[in-house]
Amino acid sequence: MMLRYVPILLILVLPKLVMAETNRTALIEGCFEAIQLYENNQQYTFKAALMTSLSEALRAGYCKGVIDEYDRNHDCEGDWLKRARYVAGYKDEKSLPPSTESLLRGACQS
Amino acid sequence: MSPYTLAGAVRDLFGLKLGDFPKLKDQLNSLVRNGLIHVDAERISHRNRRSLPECELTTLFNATLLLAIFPDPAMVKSIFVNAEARRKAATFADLIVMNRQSLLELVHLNVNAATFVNVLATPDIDLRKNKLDNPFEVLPQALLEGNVELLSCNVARSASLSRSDLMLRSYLDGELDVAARHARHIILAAEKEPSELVKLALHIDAEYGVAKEFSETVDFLFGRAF
Repeated sequence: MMLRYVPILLILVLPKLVMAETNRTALIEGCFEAIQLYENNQQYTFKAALMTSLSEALRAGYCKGVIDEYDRNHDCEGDWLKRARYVAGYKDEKSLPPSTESLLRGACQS
Repeated sequence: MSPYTLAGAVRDLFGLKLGDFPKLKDQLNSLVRNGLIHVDAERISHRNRRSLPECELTTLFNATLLLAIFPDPAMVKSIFVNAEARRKAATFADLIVMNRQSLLELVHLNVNAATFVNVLATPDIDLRKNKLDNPFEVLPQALLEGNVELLSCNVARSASLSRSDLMLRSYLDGELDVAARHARHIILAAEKEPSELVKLALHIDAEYGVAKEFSETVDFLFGRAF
């Protein structure tokens, strides 16, 4: 009898799962871009603009924003660059932390 | 047939009123003084009635064409009398003809340009007896009003070309700051530069501005690693 509610439950849950997944990979991608952008800008100053595409810059900004926002609610040691490196380290990993939250927690404790 | 005056000969050969072009008049008088153009000796005492034997017309014609490229009368004379000077002049004139693309906008060179150089480069052809082909649609001396010489025009042109070359080269090499420095020179002298070049310079300058702003934003947002 309860079985007929299963599809509805799935529909309610699915977007959340998908969103979390998107956020996590976007965050990893973004942190990878952020480190690259930061290093390019340190090394080449204005040339960073020539080396960075619009979407790379947007993703990099997304990473920095998420990390800063996590800092506002959690007691976190170390600089953002170190945490971004931790997150970016998952770029080519097969298995990711189960959620964005756990990914950021790991970055915080790294 | 009455002998020519210098002014009459120039009028007949080029359709120019010599009195309107004092610089050309000076140059031709120098050629008379340095002996390249022989005027009738008996009449030389009547200053205003110096006359030109008909056989001198070809020399006058060729000398005037050469003056368009080599403004120094002494140099023009040596092209007539000195084989080595003539060879050098031919090489030089060839460079100008080869560079016709850019010169076309200054003086309209016609199809004779190549034969002009060919004849000049052939030492056996006597410049006193054989008329060169006139490579100019309009004699540069008339077009440039005698204030600017063809050569200085060309030098100024290549100078501005080389600046645009430097700008483009550094731009394509990703040296945006160097390109922008050249661009600002071009923008400052905008009224003297071709409008396409100024547009390109403005574009490069704007792009440099964007890149600098981007770098400052990255510094501001990412820079402080705390």
